[in-house]
Amino acid sequence: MADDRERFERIYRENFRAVLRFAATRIDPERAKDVAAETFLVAWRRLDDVPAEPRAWLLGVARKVIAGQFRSQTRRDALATRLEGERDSAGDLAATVEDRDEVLAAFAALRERDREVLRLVAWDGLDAAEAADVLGVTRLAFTVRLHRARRRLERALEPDSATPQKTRRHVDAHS
Amino acid sequence: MRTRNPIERLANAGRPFLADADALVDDGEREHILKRIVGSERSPARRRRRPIVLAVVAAAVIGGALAAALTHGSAAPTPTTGGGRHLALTGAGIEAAGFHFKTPAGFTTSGTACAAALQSTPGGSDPTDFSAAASADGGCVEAYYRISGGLVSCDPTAPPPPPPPGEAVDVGSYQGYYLAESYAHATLSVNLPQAGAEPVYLVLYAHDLTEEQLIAVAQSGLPATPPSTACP
Repeated sequence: MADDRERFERIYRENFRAVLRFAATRIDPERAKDVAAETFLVAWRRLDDVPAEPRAWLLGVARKVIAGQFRSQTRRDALATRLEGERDSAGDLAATVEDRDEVLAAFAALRERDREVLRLVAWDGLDAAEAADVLGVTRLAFTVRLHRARRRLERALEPDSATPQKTRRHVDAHS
Repeated sequence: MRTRNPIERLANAGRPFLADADALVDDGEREHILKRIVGSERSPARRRRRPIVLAVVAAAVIGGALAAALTHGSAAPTPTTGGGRHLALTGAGIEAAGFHFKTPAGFTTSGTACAAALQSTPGGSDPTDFSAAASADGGCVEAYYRISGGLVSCDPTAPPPPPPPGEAVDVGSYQGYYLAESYAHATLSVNLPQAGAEPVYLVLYAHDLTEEQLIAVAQSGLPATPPSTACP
């Protein structure tokens, strides 16, 4: 039991930030804290199931917690909400801000399925095998999804697509 | 030099979000969450959630009348910590409809609701109808009444009204329903039996209390024996 607690505390301290980040980039910040805590409560109760490399397992649990408990309450994802504020404040400032605005607009215009794949790699820092575990798909399936999502993001970032993308993003952010 | 790799650009664009996420929970709160988790029961998750179908009509007048009805012919409320439990209920008392509940050590009377529980419930009751106590380290418990739709029929063939959401638990001689709403928030609804009327529940809404503590708080204020529900 003491060993279990020690192991759990190590897992918790090493992974809390990753789980919180995962949740906060998908739902509103206050609920993200609840999701992180709920995720580790599951891990505590199912410690025997937690693998030696627990991050993907934990993020998979967090994903289910979000899907199961918060779907109906948070239809707009955190990013869409944040984007509205970002767009209001970013204006025509420095090139980095402009690029960020452009990338986020293009990202928000993608389908949620693509966004989730891209988030796992770009923001959660997972490799293909870990991301596949989180989504519960094979590594091959994830690689295909990532390839497609990346191409769609590239297309959305092409200069010619700027105007329609922004229009679509606006619709998405308010859906 | 700006990268053209879309994934890298997306990663860069997301950095402020991640930094904001890191700031959501400081070290102290992170350790507090850890303490709560490792202090919790490790049995497999067993909570069931049912759609909330109850309407809240709690009102002081109704509550007072209910208390009078419930205590009629039975012993005065006998505070108890429950068989075999070693819980120190030495905090401030909270009162709802004539029942006086004890709270855990360190709790003092609070004029603020534990959360938006009352306000967020459809047809929510007047916030003055609750009684709450809070602890310095963030714990909180409040008591109020909830009257469900449907009648407890005297006809034995009639279907019973739907129970409140949560897992059925024993609260002394009463039937309770415990619902863990998140890692820190929970609701215990205790059925106060009365025949031929709408089902009435004592509701304890708590933050940072265990299931055992909530049950003990409920038991501390209810008569040991529920009133008879025999139909005429």
